[in-house]
Amino acid sequence: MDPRQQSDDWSLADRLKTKTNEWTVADLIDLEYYLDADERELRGQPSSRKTLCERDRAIYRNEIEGHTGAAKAHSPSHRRMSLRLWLKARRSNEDPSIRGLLPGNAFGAAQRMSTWLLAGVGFLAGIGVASTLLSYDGRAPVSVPWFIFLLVVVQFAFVLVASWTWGRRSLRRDKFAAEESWLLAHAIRPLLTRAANWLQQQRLAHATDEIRERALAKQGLLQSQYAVYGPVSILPLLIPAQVFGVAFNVGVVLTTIALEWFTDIAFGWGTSLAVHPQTVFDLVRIIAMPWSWLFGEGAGYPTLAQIEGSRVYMEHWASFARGLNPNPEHLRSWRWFLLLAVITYGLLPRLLLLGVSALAQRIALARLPFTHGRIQALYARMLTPQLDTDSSGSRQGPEMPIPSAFAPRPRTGLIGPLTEGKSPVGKRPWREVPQTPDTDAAPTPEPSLDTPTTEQISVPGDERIALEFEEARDRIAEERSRSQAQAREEITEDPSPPAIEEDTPSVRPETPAPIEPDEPAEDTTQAGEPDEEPEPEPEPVSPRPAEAAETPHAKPADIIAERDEVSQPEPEPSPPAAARDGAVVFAPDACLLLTHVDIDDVLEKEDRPRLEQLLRQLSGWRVGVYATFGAGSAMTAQALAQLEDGDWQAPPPRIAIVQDGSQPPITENLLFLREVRAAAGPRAQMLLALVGDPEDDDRLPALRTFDYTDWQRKIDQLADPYLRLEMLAPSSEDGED
Amino acid sequence: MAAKIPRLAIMGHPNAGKSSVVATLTENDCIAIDKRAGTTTRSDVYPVVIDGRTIIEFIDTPGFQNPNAILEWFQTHEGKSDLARSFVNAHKADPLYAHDTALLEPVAEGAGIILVVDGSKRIKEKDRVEIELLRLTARPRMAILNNLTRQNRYMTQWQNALSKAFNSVREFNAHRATYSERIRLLSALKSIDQRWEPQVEEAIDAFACDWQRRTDQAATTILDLLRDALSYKVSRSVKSSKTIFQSGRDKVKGEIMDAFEDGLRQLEFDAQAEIRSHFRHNVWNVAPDSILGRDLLSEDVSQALGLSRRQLAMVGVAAGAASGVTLDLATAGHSLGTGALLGAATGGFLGVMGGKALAKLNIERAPNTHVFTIGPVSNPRFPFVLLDRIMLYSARAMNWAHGRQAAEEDAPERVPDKDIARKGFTEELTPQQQRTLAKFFNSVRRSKESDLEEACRTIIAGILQGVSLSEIDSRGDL
Repeated sequence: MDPRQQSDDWSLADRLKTKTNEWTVADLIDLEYYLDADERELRGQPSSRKTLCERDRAIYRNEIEGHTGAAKAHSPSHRRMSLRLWLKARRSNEDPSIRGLLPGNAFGAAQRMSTWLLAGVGFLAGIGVASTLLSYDGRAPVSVPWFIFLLVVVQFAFVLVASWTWGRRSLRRDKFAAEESWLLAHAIRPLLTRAANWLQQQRLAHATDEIRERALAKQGLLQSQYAVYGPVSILPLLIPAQVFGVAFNVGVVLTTIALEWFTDIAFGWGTSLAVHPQTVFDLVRIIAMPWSWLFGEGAGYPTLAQIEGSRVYMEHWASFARGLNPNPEHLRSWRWFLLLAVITYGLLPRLLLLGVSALAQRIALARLPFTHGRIQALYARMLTPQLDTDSSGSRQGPEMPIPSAFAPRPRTGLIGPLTEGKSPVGKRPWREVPQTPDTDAAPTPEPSLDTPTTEQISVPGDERIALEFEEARDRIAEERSRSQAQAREEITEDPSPPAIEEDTPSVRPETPAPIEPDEPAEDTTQAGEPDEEPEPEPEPVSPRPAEAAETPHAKPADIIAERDEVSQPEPEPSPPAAARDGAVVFAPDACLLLTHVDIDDVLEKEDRPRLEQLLRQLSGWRVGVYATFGAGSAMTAQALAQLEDGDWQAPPPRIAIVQDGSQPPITENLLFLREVRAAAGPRAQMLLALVGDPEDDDRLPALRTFDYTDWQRKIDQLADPYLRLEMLAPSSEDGED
Repeated sequence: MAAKIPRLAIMGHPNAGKSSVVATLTENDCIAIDKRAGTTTRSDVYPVVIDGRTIIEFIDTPGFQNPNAILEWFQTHEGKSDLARSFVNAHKADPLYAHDTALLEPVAEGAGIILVVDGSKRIKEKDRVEIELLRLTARPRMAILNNLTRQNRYMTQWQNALSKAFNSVREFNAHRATYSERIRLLSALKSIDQRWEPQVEEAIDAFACDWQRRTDQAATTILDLLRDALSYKVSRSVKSSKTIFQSGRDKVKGEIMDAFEDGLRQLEFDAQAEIRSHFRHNVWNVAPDSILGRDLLSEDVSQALGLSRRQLAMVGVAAGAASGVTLDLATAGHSLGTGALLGAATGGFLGVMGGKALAKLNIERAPNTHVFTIGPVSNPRFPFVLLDRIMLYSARAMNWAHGRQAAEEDAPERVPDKDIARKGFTEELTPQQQRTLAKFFNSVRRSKESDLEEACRTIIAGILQGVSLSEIDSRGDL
């Protein structure tokens, strides 16, 4: 892995088309360049979305589809390869005269040149330093300690420090906690940030809201870029530095060899301290340890006698050695020691570092998941058969607190003040209304586990009944969902959700508790008509909340979420990372759909397929599991449990969030996104799809551009690269709201 | 003392129209209102100060940012005596709750609550959460259904949801509210906390007095305008040599006519500015398509405003003035053999005021010079048109809600301004009143002091009063 070849690599790969799966830094730069151009076009001119879709779909069909081998769509390797091929297609579509000017190319050339330059400079510097240190005019011998100190000790210390920081960083990165050393994280960085913030505030204070908002959004975008490519963005700078080190040492070694061959140099050591030669000998032996097995005492390093003989007493040398007649062999005895020391402690570690950083770069490149927001959009455009969607926007928004990211794992499951782990008391009378009729079965002060929340498709197993919440109601709900799930399985073949309308309203909560917990078999019989529901006798309660309840069933798509073993005892929905066996399996293109209750409440049965259809167009995902959110932390916890309990195939989880975009974004919404991110992992693909204010004839209308831009600003400020914001339904009008 | 002042925090989620409500209630059109959400980022106090005394304070708060979290916090700490206070104390330091603490701070300090909701939208989860959490604060509270559109289907739902948790629920369109609606809203404040009754009462009285004073000021402005306009004259001396030829005379006539017209327009413009300041409008001005935006002397205006032809004739006969004017007009053209009838000179103009010339042109000859004098206005129709226009303007100013600045006038489904017959104010007066006005105009024209001035003032003030109490339609479409 010579770094100098690195940059040649891409052009080579491009030409030969051999390893399409290989990415280089230059490729990434070009990819980002193209993505950025697309994005800008989209923002500036929403109507261009259609053109982009057509273009990307065409590229996919012509140049990618047959070339991806066995990889299945949505799998990481498929994504890697598709994107690489897409990039290739984009590049080759470029005018040949411009092709050389692509930023990736330019970067490659610049990197090559600077590497050579650094190598040259390093080499010359090595020659210079070595010849200075070894200059011998026949009077005082060359100082061994100086040579060793400068070229061995100092260099080696550099190497140690560098590798220590580096190792520490990479260790930390895995843990995702503090990426920097303590000093950096606790002192320097905060100071810098504060200074930068202060400066920015000063400037922004004079700017209009508009500009301030934009600047903040920009900042967010930059942050997110760094988050995506962090290590990859550092390594290209690290490698030339290593090249410099190597060249320097090569220079030193060559100079030393040359001088020793062609001139006669006397080496000596001296000190004003009272040091016994034996000590020096011991030190020398330690230093020489790495090569002493090859070149032993006398050859690889001087003997005790030679050391004693090469000691320089200034008073003797000053008066030109009366009676002192140093043995010339003793004075020369250091030569190989010096050379070997430089090679061992200077050259080899540098070579090693160079190799390691080159390797690290390659690994980092190989590990890139390519799932961040902009790529999600591109990937969806490629995979989705021609569609008309529209989005647009740019501008505006005010100052409201933007929550910072949560540490990934330790999720509290509760929003806001309840993070302290108090039991959530989510009393919401209006949500419980529909349940009151059946609550008599279990008149509990439902601790906010309002059933409407989780449309738990994932819940199989009778044991769980006993397990979880004492609320009978809760249990009922779960039973219901279980039965539904089973029903769904059978339905798979005929996914049409017909004739649901009549019984629908009641579906969820009314289930008389005792009815079905014990007869799961019966449910299956109903498979044919899934919508019939296990509870046919539901008294139609207030229609609104009831509709929400039906969410889980009726949509053919849920089938995607195949449950491993239906019968397996499935643990409570809440504790994450609980037993995996009962977990819902998310197929590689299935996602978790989180719908805000405001939307969910108004959706009619017939809207579900449309919702799925729209989502599909937007992301290429099918709906694996439905869940709702937005009515309290308990609901959030359940939704997140779905996420965490899920068995995700094609790992980074896929989450689609449907939100009412007609209401301006508030901190709470952003906090929720942070929560989901924390639960799903830093690279999970998230899609936030906004819906307009529901109307009678269209419950999933397009969003006004004005509202969309409002959201866009806020989302940009989150600096979450793997989160993508879209309008669920394409806006009907181009541009204007 | 200060603690006794009723303080009312206007709350709601972002973009519900809180700032508009405050602006309208406090007649302060300098409050920043923005279509974008979350423009208000801290609680601003807008006191109602009358005679240097603060009577009521309205507090414009930022929108809720974490309603769910607040509600849950409230519910977990339900035992605490003062939830708002404890919440604020607990979360003061948390930047994520900056807006929430800012908006609960006034409540913690004992302010009453006015929740503003957008009645045109369906009730969302957030709304229910906010209603519930405000209920838990146990402060006196009132809800305002701010419905800016014609969308009424959710209103009953809202009424039901709100009335469970609020002492009083009122509909209030912050963009259309008139004086009387404002007063009614204020009166409703009495009902949410009885202890405030005296202060609210006092505030209402003060508002009413203040309004009375403004109306009187407006009437004075209007009378002044009439007097100034009707006695307005422009004269100019011209060397005789320039008037030898017809073309030269025509040119001079044209110039002096323009000066005269511009003078009248300026008088009206100044009066409008005065009216605006009486009613505390800093940013408002009339919509361009209004008849107020047209030229004072244009045909449209004279068609739309003033008295009908018949009324005018009646009034003229009765006042014995109009006929005199006609006589003047008939003779003017030939008097001295040189002065032409103004209308003849600038033909198009004559038609403007119902076929009658606006004013008489006099030319006096002196050695080497001619003195051209135009005015005062002799057209019988003009004073009524002018009066109607300035009344219309006043009516607009009185009824223009101060919170309306950021209104999307082209938003779909917004409440339309009221439709009414296209008639001026003066047309609806009794013949007796019209005659009084006409007589007054006549005497003013001759620069005589008139004992009818008081009577006219009463008539004008009466119209203005009627407009503000919605007894007389404000001619929103003109």
